Amino acid sequence: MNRQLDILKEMILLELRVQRRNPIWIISLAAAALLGLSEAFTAGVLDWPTTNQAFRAYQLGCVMIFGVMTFLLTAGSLSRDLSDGRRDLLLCRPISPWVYICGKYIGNILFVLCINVLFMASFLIIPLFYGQSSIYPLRPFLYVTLFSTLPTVLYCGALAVFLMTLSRKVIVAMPVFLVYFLAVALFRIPETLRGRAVDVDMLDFSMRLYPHVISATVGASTLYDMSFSHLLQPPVPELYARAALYSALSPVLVALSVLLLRKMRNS
Amino acid sequence: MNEKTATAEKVSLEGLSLRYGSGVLALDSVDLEIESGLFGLLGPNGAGKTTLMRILTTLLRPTGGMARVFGHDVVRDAGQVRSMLGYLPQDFQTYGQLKAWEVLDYYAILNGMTDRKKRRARIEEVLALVGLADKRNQRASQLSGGMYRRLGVAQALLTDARLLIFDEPTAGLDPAQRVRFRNFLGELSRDRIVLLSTHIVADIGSVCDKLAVLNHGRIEFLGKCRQLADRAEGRVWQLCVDDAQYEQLRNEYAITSMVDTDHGLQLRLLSETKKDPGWQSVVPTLEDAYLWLINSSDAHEQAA
Repeated sequence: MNRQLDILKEMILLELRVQRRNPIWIISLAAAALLGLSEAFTAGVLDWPTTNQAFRAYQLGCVMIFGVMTFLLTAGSLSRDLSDGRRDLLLCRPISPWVYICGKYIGNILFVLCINVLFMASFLIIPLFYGQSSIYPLRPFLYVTLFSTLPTVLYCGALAVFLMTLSRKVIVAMPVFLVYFLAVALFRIPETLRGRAVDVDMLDFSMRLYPHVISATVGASTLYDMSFSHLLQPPVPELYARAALYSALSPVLVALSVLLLRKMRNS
Repeated sequence: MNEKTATAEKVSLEGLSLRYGSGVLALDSVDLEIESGLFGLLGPNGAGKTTLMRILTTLLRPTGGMARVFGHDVVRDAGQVRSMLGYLPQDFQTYGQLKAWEVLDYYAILNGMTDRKKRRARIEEVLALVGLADKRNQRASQLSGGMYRRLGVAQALLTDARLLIFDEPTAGLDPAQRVRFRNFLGELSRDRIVLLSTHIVADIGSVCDKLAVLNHGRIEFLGKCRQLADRAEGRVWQLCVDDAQYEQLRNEYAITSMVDTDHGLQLRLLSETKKDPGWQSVVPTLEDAYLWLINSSDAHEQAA
């Protein structure tokens, strides 16, 4: 058992080292920064409504782009071992499928979370650029990190591991993921094209399919529309529930991936 | 040496068969024993060489018979077998963006080498062994074809494996690289079993003591290289012909070599009997014998 844990630790450290040189995280971080930071700077920091806009830009950058980044990094890492020419070199090794899959998964999740901390820190200090003496309050940013970004990153990483062990090809896994991940926008398209208001029940249902959509209902409004000051309050139960659901679903997907890898080895 | 100890020192296959889901019989009751040294596995494309190697590396489960690696069953004790072997697949590909030592570090971790100091020391040893010590910091994608292949060998040597399996290791190498590589394989085989699969006869002839020829999933020959060559004794002929005669002969006989000389085309061909007084019997090479064996096997298969 200790030996397996030692191998797992080495796998995670190796993954962190390898991904450090992967251009995908730099491109993704640049995209998140462009999307979030530019919006935040344009909106300013002084009045609360526009601060809310800056905060939502942060949510968007964090949740959407970090979700996609997690998938790209994890799927890319697995594709290097599971593609046709390389699979044999992995499967003939004595490493346990559990250790291999968990090493890849945890390594990539940790890597993305480290970048997320950098991204959050860059948002927190925005007020300093406007001559303020203090940074943004930390609590709302932590709420987003804990109840939205973390479940999203865990879930997207697990999806990457699962889709890659299932299809073995990043060219198959990627479109499947993107269609699923971005499909929330598709629910809006037909209504928007007809110039009608979105069917609230349908939208609400569709949003529950994803961890990355901040739409928990709070009274008459949704969390997506909540102001920055609302988020200074403790999170609503639905956020807890959804974060828990997708965080729990992730290990299930990882376990399924281990079974798939075991089956691949014993074919 | 008792029977159990003897089994623990070799690779043994008993009635090994594999039928794919599509119904194709890739291996048909193969019996084979491989002891320490360099053992060659020769056969045309599709003969079952890669299937046999994939069974030994635990990548495929046989549908019949048994394969044991140093006394361990490849199905029941797959984990132990994996920890005792090094494998270089036919189309070795790796992380191009990693440096040579990092590629080896990655595979060493997959092999369960957790002690970082020991791992790094072993990587340096292996890099020196394959002559890549000065390329340790070069990215894998920037290595030449021969160096890339040697990196593949290096990853197979990381655990000091007792069984090394190389599938078509010289494919894509230039002649000088091939010779160096073959000699290197010879050195490796001094204290372990090296199983070399190829369809390049010269590779086997120059380094292997024993070989097996596979065709249609069956062992057609098992023995020493010289014994195989001897089998074609009196069946290899040399003659000089013009273009018209050549066109006629090529349809009737297997021609193993053709050289354009001042006196016409000098041919080496395979025939059970001397059909023309101008034909001269020559000493068969391993390649002549191999082609004769494969042709006979194909003819027998067609007749059946």
